[in-house]
Parts: sequence; C-alpha cells; structure tokens
Amino acid sequence: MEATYEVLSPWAETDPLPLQGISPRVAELRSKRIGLFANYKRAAVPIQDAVEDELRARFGRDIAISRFAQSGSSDAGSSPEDGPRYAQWLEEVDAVIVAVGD
Amino acid sequence: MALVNEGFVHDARSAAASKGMPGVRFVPQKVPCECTVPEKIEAGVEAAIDDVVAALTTPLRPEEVSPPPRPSELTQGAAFSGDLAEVQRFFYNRGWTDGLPIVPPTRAAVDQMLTGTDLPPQHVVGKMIPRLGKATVEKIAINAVMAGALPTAMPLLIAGVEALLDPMSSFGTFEVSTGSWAPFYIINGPIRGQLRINGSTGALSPGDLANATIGRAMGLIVKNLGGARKGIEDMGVLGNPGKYSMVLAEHEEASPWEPQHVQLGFGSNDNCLTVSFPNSYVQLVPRGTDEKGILDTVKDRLGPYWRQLTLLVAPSQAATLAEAGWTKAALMEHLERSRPEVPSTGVGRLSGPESVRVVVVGGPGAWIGLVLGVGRWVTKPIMLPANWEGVVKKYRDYVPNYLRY
Repeated sequence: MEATYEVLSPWAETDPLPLQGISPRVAELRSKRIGLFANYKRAAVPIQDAVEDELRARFGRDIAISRFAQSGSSDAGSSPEDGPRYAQWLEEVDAVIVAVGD
Repeated sequence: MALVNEGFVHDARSAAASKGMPGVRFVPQKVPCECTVPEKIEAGVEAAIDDVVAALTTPLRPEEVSPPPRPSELTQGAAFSGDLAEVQRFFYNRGWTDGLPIVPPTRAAVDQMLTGTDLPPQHVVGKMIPRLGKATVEKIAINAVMAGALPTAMPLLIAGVEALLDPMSSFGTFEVSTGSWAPFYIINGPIRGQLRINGSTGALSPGDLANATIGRAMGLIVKNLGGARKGIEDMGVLGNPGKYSMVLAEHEEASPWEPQHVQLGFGSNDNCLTVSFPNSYVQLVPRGTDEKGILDTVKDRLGPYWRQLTLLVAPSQAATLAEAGWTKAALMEHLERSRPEVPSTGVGRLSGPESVRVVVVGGPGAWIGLVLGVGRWVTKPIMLPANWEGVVKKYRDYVPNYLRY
C-alpha cells in the first residue's frame, strides 16, 4: 500500500489588508487638471507626451495638464525623495493617468 | 487610471490588489514595450485614448467603491493529503513548485528542518514583496523541505531572506523584472565545508546537494512567500536558468587573496551569504596565461556597456595574478577604472558605487567567469544554532561517492 502524505502549505500568510475603493470619477475632463505620472522607465515620458497630445486634440485648452516624474525605481509615495512632492501633486490634480508595463 | 501594455494587465491587477486597491481601472494599450519609435507610441495611445477618457469619467461601480474581501488562501494546517503522485500534482496545480517534483512537506519533515535553527517557528524574518507574505521560520522550513534541503541549510536560508529583504538588494525590482535577473548567492566561511557547498570543480553545475537545494529553496521562498509567479508578477521576458539555483562557495583554501567576507570586515571564521542579481554568465578562456592575457581578455569581453561584474577567477588564474602582484582590491580598482560612462537608463538607477567583485572559485583549468548585473551586492552574516555541531554531524555523510568505471 502506498504511503499517504499529509502536507503543509508553503504559501505565506499575509496580514489583513485594508481594502480601498478607487477615487470618484470626474463627470467630464473639461476644466479639470489631469495629472500624468511617469515612472522611471524609458517609454513612460514619450507615452505621456502622446497622451497629452491626444487630450489636447480633444479638449484643447479646456483642460490643464500637470506632470509628475518619479525620480527612481522606488515607489513614489513612500520614497523619501519623491514622497512629499508626490503627495502635494496629488492634491493639485483632479484625475491621474499612469503608464504601466515598460 | 492606468494605461497598461496589453501583456502586463494581469501583472498590474496583481500589483494593485496587493496594495489593497483591486478596483484600479486599467486600459490595455498596444505600444511595444520600451518603445522608442514615436509613431508607434502615438498610434498605440491614439487607439486607447477613448477608453482612457471613459475610465476617468464613467461612474464607479459598487465593487469599485467597496472592494469585496480577498479570497481566502490556504496557508494554515494541512493543505492536502494523498499519495506521492497526488501530492506532486496538487502542489504543481496550485502553482507552488518550480516545475520539478518536490519533497512532501509533512509535519515530521518540517519539524526536522526546524532543528537547523534556534529561532521559533512563528518568528517573522520579514514580509516579502510583492505579496507581503510573512516569511516565518516555519514557512521557510516548509519550502526548504520541498526543495530537498537538509536542516543544515536553515541558517543560510534565513540569512538569504534577510539579504533579499535588505532594500539595498533591490529585490522587489529584480525578482519580477523583465530583465530576468536571478539571485546569485556566494557563501563564505567555515559553513562552506560543513555543508559541503561546492566552490571547486563545477561549482555552478548540478550535483552538489547544498548548492542545488539552497538556491532552489530560495526560489520557492520567493515564489510562495513573496508571491512572485512567472508570467503574473515575475515578468522576466526570456527567463533565466539561474533562477533554479545559482549558489557557490568561494574557494577560500585555493585563493591567494582574502575571501570576500574578510574584505568586507568580517572575521575569517564568520559565515556570510552575499546576494546579487545578475542576468548573464559568460565563461572565457584567456588569450594568454600571463596577467596580460587574463586581464585583456576580461576587459575586451566586457566591452563598452556594463555596470556590475562579479569576476569568477579560477585558482590557477588567481595564482598567476597574485604572482604578478595583483591583489583583489587592485584588480577591482583596475576593472572599475575601465568601466565606461553609460547613459542613464531605468535599471542603471539600481547601481551602487561599487561595480566589481572578485571571487576565487572553480577547480583545475584555465577558465574565467563574468557574472554580469546592474545592482549591488548585499552580504549578511549567517547565524548558527547553539547545537550547530550536532546538526552538522547528523548530516555529514551526505557525500556523493562516485564509482570508478
């Protein structure tokens, strides 16, 4: 008869994670300040340039654009270099577009 | 909202969920990764911009306002019961293995593994990103059993986790990067002999229990405690066989120079683990067997673009260089000076001020190795249990005995 193995889980426990909903949407983009966040990857800024061009083509000067460039690979919100500047920037914009995935 | 390369949507969703915001809106786009062609960027963004506007303006759904609880996960107690084949299938199907069969982590086997440390099973060494899984001593032991490690590996594995969790290692970036960086562990001190960690012939080849299982256990720990799964969080494009196991001992006895940990200020009887994250390993035969032949070969192969080099010097090469007056420090400085100025890129930001380490490793022969990366080295002391000698004694007969034929 073949042996039976009762085995333990290798998968780690995590602390309960407080879940957070996303921010309310704006009704429209006109008259709003749109934040464009660029991480440190090479394509981030050119993509945000293209996003700004597309938004300008649709909304002209009816929207304001505000850029934030992360200074390193660390999470902007928690990095000592970027954290305070990032928090301030978030206060100043109505919506944020980030580009992810190289 | 996030504009996401279409191949990274699942990665982005996992990242958002692990930070407590599973409702983040993602719009896939088709701009090639790392794109430098403006026309392709513009076309990809243009195709996605209507969805971007919609993601910013469409009212929230209830689940986006109040995300539902995360599904419960199987972390405690017995995960499964079955025969060997059933256990293998269960673990593989759960995504808990590295593709190779595992040793079933039974309570008895895990308790045996825990004899390799004095730390209590529920002691949390740290939380491993991206999932922030708790790296308890017991979970480390479970993954060590799965990897086929001996209890003598436990002090090393705990030091390995500490090294990965050191922010200087940039583990959080390297473990999941498209660059397929693999953790490369160098072991120094008397523990090398006690665990029979190979630093001689074929140190980086299969066949040595310690070299093979320590790296394998660390890989399972990264996957099962940190939650970095291939193709979901670990987005390495080409992958890297070094992720199975890339562990060696410095061949201190065959070296004319101070071992790495002594260079760093540790005592020669201290045990240390050093980790870095290379993504390539090149082996060279020097053009000549004198110092010029060795050094010219290395510098020529390095070429104009490199950031971090662990130079693996076989004992015979080390002897040649030492006879010519080279110290490790002088070699490192010499190669450091040859490092070109490289334009800043994303990964370059992970580099430290130091860019060269020299490690004596290998057996007889004339090869030299370049292990190339972009980050830093992190070294941690290995803390041994009070009954270390007893634990080592119990497993000292794990030695391959090859028959002559």
